[in-house]
Amino acid sequence: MLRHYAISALRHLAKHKGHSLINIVGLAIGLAAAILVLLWVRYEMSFDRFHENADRLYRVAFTTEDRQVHSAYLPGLAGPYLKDRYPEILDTTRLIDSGARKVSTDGRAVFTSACCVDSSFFRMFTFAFAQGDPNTALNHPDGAVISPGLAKALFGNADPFGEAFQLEGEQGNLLLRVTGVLEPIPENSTIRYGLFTAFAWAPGWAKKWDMKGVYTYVLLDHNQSYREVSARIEDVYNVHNPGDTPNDFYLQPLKDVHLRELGGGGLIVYITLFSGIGLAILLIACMNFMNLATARFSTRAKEIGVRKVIGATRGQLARQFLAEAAVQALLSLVLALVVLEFLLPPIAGVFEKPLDLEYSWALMLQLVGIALVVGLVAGSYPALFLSSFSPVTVLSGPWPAPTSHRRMFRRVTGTRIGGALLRKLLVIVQFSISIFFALSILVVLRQLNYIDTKDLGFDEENLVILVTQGELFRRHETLKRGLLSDPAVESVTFTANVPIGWTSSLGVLWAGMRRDEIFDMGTLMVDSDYEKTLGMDLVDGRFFSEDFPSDEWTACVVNEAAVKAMRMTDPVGKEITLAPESPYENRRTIVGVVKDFHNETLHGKVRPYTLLPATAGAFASIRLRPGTLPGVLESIEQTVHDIAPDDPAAYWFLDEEMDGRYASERLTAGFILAAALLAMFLSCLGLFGLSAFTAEQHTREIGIRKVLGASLAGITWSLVREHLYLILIAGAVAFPVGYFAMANWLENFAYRTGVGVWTFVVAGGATAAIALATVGGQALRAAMADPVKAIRYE
Amino acid sequence: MITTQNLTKIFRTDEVETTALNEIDLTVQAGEFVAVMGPSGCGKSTLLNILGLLDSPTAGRLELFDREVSGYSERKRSELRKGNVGFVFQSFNLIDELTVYENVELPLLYQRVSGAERKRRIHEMLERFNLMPRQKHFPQQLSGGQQQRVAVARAVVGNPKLILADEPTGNLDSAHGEEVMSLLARLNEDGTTIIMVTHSSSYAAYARRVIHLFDGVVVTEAAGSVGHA
Repeated sequence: MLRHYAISALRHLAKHKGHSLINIVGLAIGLAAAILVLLWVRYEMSFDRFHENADRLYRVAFTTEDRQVHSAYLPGLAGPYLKDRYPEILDTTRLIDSGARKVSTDGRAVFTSACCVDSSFFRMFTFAFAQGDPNTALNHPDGAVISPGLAKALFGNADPFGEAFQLEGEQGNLLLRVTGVLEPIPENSTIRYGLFTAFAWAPGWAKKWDMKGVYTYVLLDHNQSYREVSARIEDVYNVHNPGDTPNDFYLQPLKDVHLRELGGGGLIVYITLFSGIGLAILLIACMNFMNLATARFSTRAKEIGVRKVIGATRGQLARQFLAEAAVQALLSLVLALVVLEFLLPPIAGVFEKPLDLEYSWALMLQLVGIALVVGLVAGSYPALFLSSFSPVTVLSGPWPAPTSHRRMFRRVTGTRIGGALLRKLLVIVQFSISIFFALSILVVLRQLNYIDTKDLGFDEENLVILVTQGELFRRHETLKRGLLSDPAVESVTFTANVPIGWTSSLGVLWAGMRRDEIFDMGTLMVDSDYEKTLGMDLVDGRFFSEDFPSDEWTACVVNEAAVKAMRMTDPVGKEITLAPESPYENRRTIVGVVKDFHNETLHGKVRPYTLLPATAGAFASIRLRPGTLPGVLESIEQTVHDIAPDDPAAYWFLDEEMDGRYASERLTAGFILAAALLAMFLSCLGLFGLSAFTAEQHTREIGIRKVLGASLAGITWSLVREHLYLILIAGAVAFPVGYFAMANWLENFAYRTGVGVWTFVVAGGATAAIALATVGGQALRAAMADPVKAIRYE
Repeated sequence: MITTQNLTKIFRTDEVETTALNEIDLTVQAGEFVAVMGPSGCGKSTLLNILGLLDSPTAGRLELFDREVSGYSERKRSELRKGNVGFVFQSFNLIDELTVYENVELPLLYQRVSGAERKRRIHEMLERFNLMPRQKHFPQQLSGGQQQRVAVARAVVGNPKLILADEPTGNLDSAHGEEVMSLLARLNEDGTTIIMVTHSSSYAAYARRVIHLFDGVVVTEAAGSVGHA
């Protein structure tokens, strides 16, 4: 029986090539979009699963009592304590990110990402070793495990194993020996470094209980519930720091580290969002299928009647149509895979993810399964609908050929409604989704444009940020002089950390503060050229200056937000205390107030910030005169080289970095744009097929009307009018939903545009125009048909 | 085998109410060959539909195969019809996407007859109706007469007790028409009950009894002339 269904299906498809093609292409597009999302989701969810112990590995994190603050930075002594104290924790390992460090052998120097880990690290985590033994590689303090990339950079083609090299540090250089060379670390690993050194080299603060900054991972015993263990370790920090604000420890599964941010949110939000969008596209494709299959019922009415006469039950007929749908879905799958073969490489390139169709059994089975489900879903309604026909139509009754589609429908199915209404509903849903996407993309683009053009309170263009550690740090005055000697360089400033960002914060005390008022003030140590180089505005007082040598110990400059938070009226001259009741406590006098600048993304309001004076720092910001690129870069590199010949000059452009902070918004925008275009295309494809068919059905009616004198425009309009109403209803549905959703999304930004009236006009208007163009062509063609041919009896 | 009492069928639309059959009483014995004649629109096809369980009467009784079937649901009608009633139509109504073999096979598929048995019966049919050399052809490749032969083969492959033929010779020339009629006559000789709707009195002569319908009412019944050889 199945064989019969398959053969019937294939022959039927071949007989109605145009219709089949629209169906298969439509489904293929939907499937391709869905598969693309699936591949991406699979990739993101595969992170860190390659470790043997993946199911039992957890990262330790803490949260405050009010659950507002979350962090995975732990005190350094927590790890060993947890291992000793809790038998259900089989092993622990710590990891400190050392940042970009310079490593060198004779003649070669390179920067690499480095970290310090316990010797248990490579026992708990499964990183493949090309050379060396993971169990013992870091047993000795001067051992080092390096990535193949670092091996190549440092040792070229020579065998790196056992070789010595230098690691530059704050307190001088370390001599290390290569005790392990890794195979390339998989793309889907959250832990990724060029150099792993022993924990013995961790800084002093990492060996205490009251300073946080160490990642800690644990391996649980089999059959342990991590939630239960979380409850048991909750108080570990508080027990060792009785005077401090309570921090509750808990375990985060390793598999969640990539997907979820500790306080909530994270990549998982996008995974859900994009999966939803992919599903919506697939749904539109299914609806197309349903619509076209049911609209053309009259072409199948006779066959259905005959089959019923011969003995088909409703169930057997339904199964036949489901099989037809399944066959089309499978053909669509093949087409979708072919299309993806071509599109995946460029798409993967744009999103910088290794998306790839590996033809494994597991994936293929999943895809075939999806295709079959799609076929069954898309074919379900047509199957039910078509199989309900009464066989009476087959026999030539005493009735003349029907003049109206509606009448024939009623005669064939014995019902009054159903087909036409549901079809209209499906079209409305499709276009609602399309208009919604169109609205979304317009609003997202508006906001992105707002972000791009907003005045940030400083000048981000023509600013180069240079890493100034090691030799460059020690000889910073020479460096500054050297840089300024090039007329293309306008000014240079040193900062302790990245010049624009939120890297450290301290508590603050001020006169007039209420007892319960606590807030953290962002801080950055900068030299006196900071304001000038970054292009900021002072609204009160002055900036740090060499003319006032006491500035170094007593001065601070705050931003307007700080003044407002502290409710000061004449801030210049007032005193504040930073890091009160801590070893770092210091009193400062405000010498100036700087206009609020956006050092964080526009998601949050500008927070209270204070600048503290310093003479040198780990980063230099270099303002270039406009139009001097790229030549000036060579001069900068030369200056760096003259001072620190081994250092590759590591620099980047501030405006590029700031753009990168909205990477996920841009990614989302790109995705929604693609979704909007696809949804629109599919909806129009469906509309095209439907309108072609209804125009065909109305040929007789049109012919009669023309003979009676109707104009071309009038007929075209009457055919188009019906579809126009559907679009209007779709708009009416999509507009409020879209407004609500977009207003909601915009609230993620403290600084934002409005949704805008034009957005609705453009979205609705464009959709209507496209839909009308689709339908209008068909309508016009039908209206121009020769009336004589139309009225003739077959 | 078939008895009707006050059989009535009224078609209703929003605008119009038409009485197709008006309190028809008739009986057909097993093994009979009955022809139904009358002008266009008199209800012949409607009568055939109802007798063949394709449609249900608005009022009245219908007894088929010793069962009271007037109140049957579509599902029950379909069940009773399967394997017991075969249809032959004026416009053949073969399925264009299937070959001759597959068309004849279809009723057996729906009756879930097993593969080997199916093959045997189809071959028997194809032989009997001289269709073996054409079994892989599609209906479009056959002449009208050949198509009707396939349709008869399809109607008969399930060994039905009753065959309903609606103007089986309507689209055929006289040579092929005669051919089909002798097929039907032979089937009747083998015991199959046949009820045939026709316009032509010469073809009606093949039947043993002729019922005349006019405006939904039985007007006369007459014995047909002796069947042709």
